[in-house]
Order: sequence, then structure tokens, then C-alpha cells
Amino acid sequence: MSYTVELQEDEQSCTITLSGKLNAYNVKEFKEMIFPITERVPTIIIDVKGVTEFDSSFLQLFISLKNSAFQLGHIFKILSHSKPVLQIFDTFGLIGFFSDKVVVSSKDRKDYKFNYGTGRFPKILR
Amino acid sequence: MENMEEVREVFTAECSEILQKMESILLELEEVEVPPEEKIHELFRFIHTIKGSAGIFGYEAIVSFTHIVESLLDKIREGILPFKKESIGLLLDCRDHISELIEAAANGNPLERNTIKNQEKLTGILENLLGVVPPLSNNEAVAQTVVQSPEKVVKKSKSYLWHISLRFKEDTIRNGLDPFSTFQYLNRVGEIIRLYTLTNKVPTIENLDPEGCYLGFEILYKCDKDLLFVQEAFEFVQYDCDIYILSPHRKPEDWIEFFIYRKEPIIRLVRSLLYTKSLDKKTLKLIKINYKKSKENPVKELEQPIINNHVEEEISDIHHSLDTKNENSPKSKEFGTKENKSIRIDSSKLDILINLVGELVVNGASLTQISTERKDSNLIEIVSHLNVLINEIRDTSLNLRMVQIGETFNRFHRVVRDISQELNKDVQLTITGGETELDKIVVEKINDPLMHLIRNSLDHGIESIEDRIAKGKSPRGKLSLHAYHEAGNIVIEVKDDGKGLDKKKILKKAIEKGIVNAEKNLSDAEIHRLIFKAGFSTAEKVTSISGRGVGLDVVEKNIESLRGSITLFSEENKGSTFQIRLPLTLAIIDGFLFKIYNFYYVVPLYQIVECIEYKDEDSTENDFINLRGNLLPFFRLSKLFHLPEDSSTSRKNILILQNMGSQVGILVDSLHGEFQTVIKPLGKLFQNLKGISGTTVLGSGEVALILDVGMLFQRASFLQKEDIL
Repeated sequence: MSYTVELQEDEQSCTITLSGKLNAYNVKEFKEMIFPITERVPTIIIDVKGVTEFDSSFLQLFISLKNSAFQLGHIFKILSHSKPVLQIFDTFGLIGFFSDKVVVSSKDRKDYKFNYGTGRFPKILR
Repeated sequence: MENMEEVREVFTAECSEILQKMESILLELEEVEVPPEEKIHELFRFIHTIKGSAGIFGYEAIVSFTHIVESLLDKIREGILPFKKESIGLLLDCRDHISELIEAAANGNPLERNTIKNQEKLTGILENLLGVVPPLSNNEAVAQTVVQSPEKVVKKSKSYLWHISLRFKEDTIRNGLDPFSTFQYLNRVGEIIRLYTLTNKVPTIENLDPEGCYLGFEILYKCDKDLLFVQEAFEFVQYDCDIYILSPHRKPEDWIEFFIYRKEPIIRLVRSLLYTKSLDKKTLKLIKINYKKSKENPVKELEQPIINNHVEEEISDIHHSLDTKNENSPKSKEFGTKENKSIRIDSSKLDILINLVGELVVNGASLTQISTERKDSNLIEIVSHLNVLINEIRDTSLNLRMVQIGETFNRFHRVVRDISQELNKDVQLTITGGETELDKIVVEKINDPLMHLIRNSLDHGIESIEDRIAKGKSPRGKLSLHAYHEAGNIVIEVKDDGKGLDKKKILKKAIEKGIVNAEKNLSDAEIHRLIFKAGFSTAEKVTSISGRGVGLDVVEKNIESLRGSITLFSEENKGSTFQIRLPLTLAIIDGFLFKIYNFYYVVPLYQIVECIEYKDEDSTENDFINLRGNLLPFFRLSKLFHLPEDSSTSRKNILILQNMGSQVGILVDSLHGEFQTVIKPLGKLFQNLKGISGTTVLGSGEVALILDVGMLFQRASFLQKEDIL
């Protein structure tokens, strides 16, 4: 398997730690795994520290999770963005959309532009 | 890339349109003493637009030349240089040169030597006037286009900010493509300044197909390359993505087009554009103003937007004006607009259609005949329905070929200007009836004869300024082109107020050349007709314009080949009028069928005024009848065509025909009513037959001759004269 999943679940929340390559080849499998969890718990936290590859299909899945959580009043959080994840968020201008805390060391700052999409995401566009 | 070809075609088409407009403005300016400021602005804008579009395609030659012309116009509009009459001539030359450059660029040909020489000459003159030409900035050279208004030239720093709108299709990811990699590529060749990801189409997790793609993007993209290059960046995804690119010089109209194209809730779209800063509030206002102007026929083309609780007022305003935007607003292109409603097709396809319709009409006629013979009422009913349809198909397909003559007319403005300058005359051309429609082929073929007549009028008709003053006429000569419909014909008149025809001179020349016999007594009209004889010219000197004596005979032949006729009215010292009459269409007409002796004949229906019963006692000896108190001449076709009198039919009829305002009756044996006539030309052998213009095939397979009423009139009057003498 090109990626690994670790689950830590209680009654209120579930923390999912992901690592490895997240791409169109395993996005379906991941969706089937996470969908039941969204029905069980209102808070989902995804830790992507160990993610080495991240593509648009996963980004789209995260957008869907965020939107669903937003509609239901649930919580969907992403933690410890790795470089591939943050780069795609940066390019797509979606850091503000996810509104998660992002930590970037000054050494890595040059890898990102943060030109747009970092502020509060306009409600009307959501 | 195929698309590029199309875009390039649009470019040339647009440029020639602009150049045409430029020409007419320049000619207009020639008429006035002080040129209105907005016209100069307009000229500047035209040149600027051409320069910009050429830049997008990388046509350096056009860019560099238009740049100099633009600089000149810029100085003129700022009042640094005066706008003199000579400037108009110069600008017209520049216009012609630009037109050549564009043509060469569009065909991918290198410039001809003459063109290059001409460019050097013009550049020299322009540089002399300008002193120093401001250098062409780098950005301008590759991407500089339309300005919104003369005052507001697009800021240069902004001039290469493209707007790209993307909607990926559902299969994108399944096809192994990742939008992210497209953006990485974009960032390598340019820079994504701002990007907005449309997340609203992404379904909630339970409905999400994780391998589908629901993303859309609005991108403000900085790239100093041309349109081709930007488009090529999307070559890999072009089938998986709906791409809409707006040039760095997008105008409010372009946005409107885009909004209509996207068919998405307008508020969200506008918000996302404001978000990417591709659209600023100023432009937004312009859009609003633009479309408040055209508040006709509200069209609910756009989806109702999902309006959130607090929406900025101006956005709802825009939405309102968009919503009420007329579908046929001339500016927009994509959905339901005039421009895109019209399609270009090969005219040979139309010809095939017309031919087929012709066959359909012939076969319809034979079906009608058979159904009448069978006396089967059901069949007759169906056939009559069918005939109605055939009629409509015929009219519609013939209509496809109709075009307005105005464009052909307008070209002559320039011709008149150039020639009258060459001849040192002052001539004003007036055009009326430009909206008159006629068959495309006729329009194409009438161009040369018209050109000839106009040159003729300018050279021989209108006198020089001194002569005119001496004669007490206004120094400025008048030439008019007039088109109108008359009884199924189109009439085109070329009229001048010049010296008219000198009958004595014509007659003398004609006798000299042996065209007429010196003893013969000719009427005025007959003398006038002499100038249509081959090899006839009274001009004492041959000029480059006319006078070679090759011409009016060719003009007449050309017009006759279109089944038309040309007449000349002239009065000495008052002027001459050439009147060209042409049939509206060349292929099918509504005819009226009748029989004389055993033969069928057809006359165009529009030339028939009425049919009356012929009674022997009504007619006088000299073949006149009393028509409601008026004496009407009629003639016997049987006599004309040397047919035996048919005594078997006791009841004869007189068809009253009209031609060019006069009426004449013809005596016929029996009437057969309306008949859709597909005109078949006469074979070579019969081409010179007078009085018959063509043939047609009847439903029964018999042939009917189509009478040429005009010729018939001439011939009949001639015969009558002979008889009387």
C-alpha cells in the first residue's frame, strides 16, 4: 500500500493520521473508509504530516469533507500540513477556505507564495 | 491548433471591418472644415486596436507600422500637430498599406517589394511629421489591444494580465490528469497572480464520486506571451476542460459574453472575479452602463442566482441589467446573438440547394398535373399542401442568397474620391437605398459594371470645376447611386449632374466610325444607345480612367448576362442617368402560363397587370382595345412569332403586361394560370434569340418558352412602326 492510515476514535471525534502517497489511485478507497466515520462522529481531524504526495482528487475530497461539515455544523480540521499538501492548498488558494492553522518555518517560506486565498474565505463563494 | 486558424480569420475580418470604417470616417472628415474631436479619437482607437490585435498574433510588421501611425494620431488628438486636409490623404495611404500588411500576414506571405518600398516611403513621411517616434515598449510589441475609451488607455503594467476561466469535466481525474499539474506549468511560464477555486460544485461526502472532478477555477494570470501561447498551455487538458480565456484587454462587453457563456449564477461569478481582481469595480460600472442602454426584451437566459441575505447593491444591479439584456444585443457573440446566429457556408452548397429546389419545383408541377388528371380529391388535397410547402422552401432558399447592396455601394466612396482628385474635380457621392437586397451572385457581378459607369460619369459626365462655374453650376459635382425595388426587379441608378451626352458629337463620331449611316434620322434615344456600341468613345484623349472605347458595350453585355437591362437618360448640361434593371433572382420565378396556337409560353407573374376577355368588337383596326375608356395597344404574338392563327378557340384573352411603366396587351389563345418557373437557359444555338429569355419544363414534360417582356416591347413597337410606315 502506498499510504497508511492510523485511526484514533472516541465518541465525539476521530483523528486520522495519514502518510505516504495520496492520489487518484487510492482516493476511492479512502472515501469509502472515511464516509462512515463522518456519519458516526461530528469532529474529524486529519493529520497529514507524513503525506509525501497529494493531488487534486484528494484535495477535492477534503473540500467535500469541509463542505459537508460546514453544512452539518460539524468540524473538519487538517493538522500539520506537509509540503505537498500545503503547496497544493497554496496554489489553489484554499488555505483560507479550510481555515486551519498552518505552520511554516522561515526556511520553507520560499516554497510557497501565499499570494491569495489565505484570508477569510468569502461566505458568498463557499 | 485549429482554433487559432479561426481566431486568425476573425482577426483579419475584424481588421478589414475596422479599416473600412476608418476609410469612411476619413472620407467624412474630408467634407468638414474642422474635424470633430471624437472622430480623431475614433481613428486613433481603430489603429490602436489593429496594433493590439496584430501584437497578439505576433505580426511585428503590422505592429511597428501601426505604431507610427498611432503616434501621429496621438499627436493630432493632443493638438500637438494640426489636422490638415493633406493628412487625410496620407492616412488613407497608410490605411491601404495596413490593409496590404494584414493581407500578407493572414496569408502567411512575405511582403512584396512594392509594399516594402511603400512602407519606407510612408514611414519617411510620417517620421518627418512626427520628428521623433516614441519607442515601442516591449509589452506593447507583443500584447497590446483594445482600449476601453480614448481617455483611458490600459495601464501598461496591467496589459498582460490574462483572465482564464476553467471548468474541468467530470472525467478529468479518471483520464489521469491533475489540474494541479496544469497550474504548475502555468506558474513556470508565467505567474498565477490570483486564483479562485470554485468549491461549490463539489458534492457533499455522501454523494461524492472521489474519482470525478467537480472543480472550476478563475485565474488572473500574468504572462507576456501571446494568446497562442496561453492557449497552448492548455493543450493537454483541452478535451477535459471548458476553457475561456479573456485577453489582457478585455472590455466590458467581453465580460458580458463570458457571463452568458458560463451560464452560472451571476453573483457568484462576479464575486469570484472581484476576488481574483480580474474585474474591478470601475469595469463593473461600465458593464452596468453598457447594458442599461439595451433594455429590451428581457431574456431569462441566465439562471436565477442564489441571492444571499446581503448582496452588494451594485452586483444586483448588474444582474438586473444582464437579465434584461436583449438576446440580440449586437455586442455579444456566444449565445443567441446576431453574429453567431449567422453561419458562413460555401456558396457552392447553396447552389446545390437551389438546383435541388429547382428540380423539386419541376417535379411538384408534374405531380400537380397528374393529381388533377386523376381527379382523386385526397391526392389533390395532399398535392396542394405539398405545393404550398414547396413554395415556401423555394422562397426561403432563394432568400438565403439575398444580400444588401449597401456594402458594394459604399466601396465607391473611395473610388469617387481618388478619381475625382486625380481629375482635379470636386465630386460628392450620395448613396440611397443601400438596404435593398438582391441575389449574391448579382451583387458580385454588378460591381464591375457599376465601377465602369461611375468612372465614366466622373471622367466624361461631370465637368471640371472651372467649367462648372462658367456654366453657372455649383463647383461641386453630384453623383448619386440609388437602388430600389420595382415590380420584381431591382433598379440601380447612377446619376450625375454633369454635361450630359453631346448628341452631335456622338452622331459625328458614329458616322466617322461607320457605326451608323449618315443619312439615317435617329431619335434621341437611339443616339444615346450608340454609346453602348463596341469601340465607341468620344473622349478626345484617353485617360487612365476611361476613354478607350472599351467599356459600355462590356457593361451592357455583363448586365444582359444577368438578364438585366441598361437604359440611359441624358439631358445636355443637366446630367445623365444610367438605369440598370436586374431580376431579383436568377433561378426560379413565379410565372404565368398561357398558350398560343399549340405552344406554351410563360411571362413573369409580376409583369402581368390583368387578364381581360378579348372581344373582336372591342378592338380597332390598328390593334388597340378600349380598356375602361383608355386606349391600350396590344399585339398578336402569333404574328410576331409567325404562328398560324388558331381559330378553334372562340374565346381569346388579352394579357395586359407592364414594363418600365408602360402597358401593352398581348393576345393569347388560352390561359393556364400561375406556374412556378424554373428557368433553364437557352442553349448556345438560341442565345441570340430576341424576345425569349429562357425555357422551362412543364409538369407534362413539355417545354414552355419564357417571354422576355422588355425585348418584346421593343420589338413590338418597332414592328408597329414598320407596319404604319
